[in-house]
Amino acid sequence: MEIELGFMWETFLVALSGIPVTLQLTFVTLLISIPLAFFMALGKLVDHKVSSRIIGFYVSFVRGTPIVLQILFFYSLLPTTLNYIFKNVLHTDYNVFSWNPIIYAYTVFSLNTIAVLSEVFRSALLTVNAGQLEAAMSIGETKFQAYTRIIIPQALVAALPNVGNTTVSLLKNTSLAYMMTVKDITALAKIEAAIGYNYIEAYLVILMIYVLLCTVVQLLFRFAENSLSVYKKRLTKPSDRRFNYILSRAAAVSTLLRGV
Amino acid sequence: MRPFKPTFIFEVLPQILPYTLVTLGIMLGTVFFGGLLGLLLAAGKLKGGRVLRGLASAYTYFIRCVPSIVMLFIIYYGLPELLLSFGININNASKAVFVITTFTFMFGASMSEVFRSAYLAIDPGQSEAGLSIGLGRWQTFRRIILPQASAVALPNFTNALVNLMKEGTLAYTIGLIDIMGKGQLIIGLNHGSYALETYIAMFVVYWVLTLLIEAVSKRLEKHLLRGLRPHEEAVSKEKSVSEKILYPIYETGILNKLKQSNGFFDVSMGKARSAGSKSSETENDQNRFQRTQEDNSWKLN
Repeated sequence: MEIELGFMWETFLVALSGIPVTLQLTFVTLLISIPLAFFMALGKLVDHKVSSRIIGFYVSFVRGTPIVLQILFFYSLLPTTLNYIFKNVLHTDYNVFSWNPIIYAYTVFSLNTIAVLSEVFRSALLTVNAGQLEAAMSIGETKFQAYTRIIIPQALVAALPNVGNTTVSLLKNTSLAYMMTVKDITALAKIEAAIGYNYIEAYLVILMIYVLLCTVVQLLFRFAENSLSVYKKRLTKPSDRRFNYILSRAAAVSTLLRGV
Repeated sequence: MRPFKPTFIFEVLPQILPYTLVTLGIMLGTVFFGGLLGLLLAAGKLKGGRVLRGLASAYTYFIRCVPSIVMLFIIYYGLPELLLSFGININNASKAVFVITTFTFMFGASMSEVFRSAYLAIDPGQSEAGLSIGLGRWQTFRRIILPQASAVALPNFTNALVNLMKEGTLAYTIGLIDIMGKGQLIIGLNHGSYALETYIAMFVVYWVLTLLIEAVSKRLEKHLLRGLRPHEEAVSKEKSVSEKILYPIYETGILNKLKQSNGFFDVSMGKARSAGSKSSETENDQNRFQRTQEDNSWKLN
């Protein structure tokens, strides 16, 4: 078994140019999904039979079927249907097939991510202690205020680790975007490999890039978690107390010196 | 545009259904080998020394970052070459071998987390209690720890299994004929027409399989949880939020107790203390439940 390192390096450079596409896919999908998923989570928590039934059906469908199948289905359904609508319903000469296929990728991945994130947000809202709502209302806030100021910020912090996991799996799933002719990392490396049938090297390159990206995403979420969950920590940790002690000593010394 | 033909879905379904056995067979093989790998990894993480623990964690981290399709192709193209350099030729081996190998690597990593979190979710006091009444180490594990840990592990295992099934559909890209592969073949035979109908038929098969797996798991979970005390059971069930957020005081049961009591003496110290201790116990369980959920949350999708 021989691995051509030269080829790997070349493929690596080519595949690097696919990173923006992969990141774009991930972040645009997240931007679309997070608000929608949040409202969906709220919709499921409100005890309204019809809405929670519909949302439950949707979530069950998305989580019960493979994403490959969803990609293939929507990629064969959407363009032709849109074309039909533009041609025969709206009677325009607009060419749907000139669209960048990344639009369909956004659609499919958002449909998938909304379902997952709605579950994440639902369980996050459940983790907030009910006393928080009571406390807010007891100091005269309305229920809406209590939710927007007290419950939701805490729930979002609680959801953060799971949002991170969802992002990682979304990032991995974007490797399937090549099925929709989106030129992401996987697609570019595969095209390089097809020339000389160097598939092993190409896939090893893709693997390395994904591990790299995944590490970066995880570090970012770790950082966000640490900085957002500050309120959970006790105000004066023992080390802080010591630090404060040193500070106060320093202040005392400086005032003394100024007095002199 | 060719009109949509719903009846075709029912024509395709009987052709696809026999291949469910292939999908299930792949899953069974993967669960067996992946489970073994997961056990080894979990043992490494829990009981291993610094090196073993690091290796096992690094492996899990690494696999977590790798898309299944990339792993599948690396195994599919790389494994024959690798083995050929040792003088073993598996170029004519069934595609199923490559699929099972790939998903063993993937599934093993997630199973190791499932095992680890289940083991950690059990209070060490349980095994201490078992040992203190004279059970052996193995007996304590088999009779005390295992039944409780399996109840904790089951939902996560089910999650991992459903994921495995969904990711397993990628096997069609290397030419394995399972549900997905057969569907693609049918579409190919029809020169690309009736694709939507075929996809819908496949959706139905996969969705029903997922729902079946989940239903069986729920049944089994109920069976495994039969030893729980009532308040623990209440905790392990998810509560409706409106109840939790609007009427939290009912949760602790103190109010109910107060309501049930007839006079002052019923709310004496003894009763109040028991109610109090119960609520703190519930809180502990809640924390534990939450913790295990957080531990396993990374397999959500």
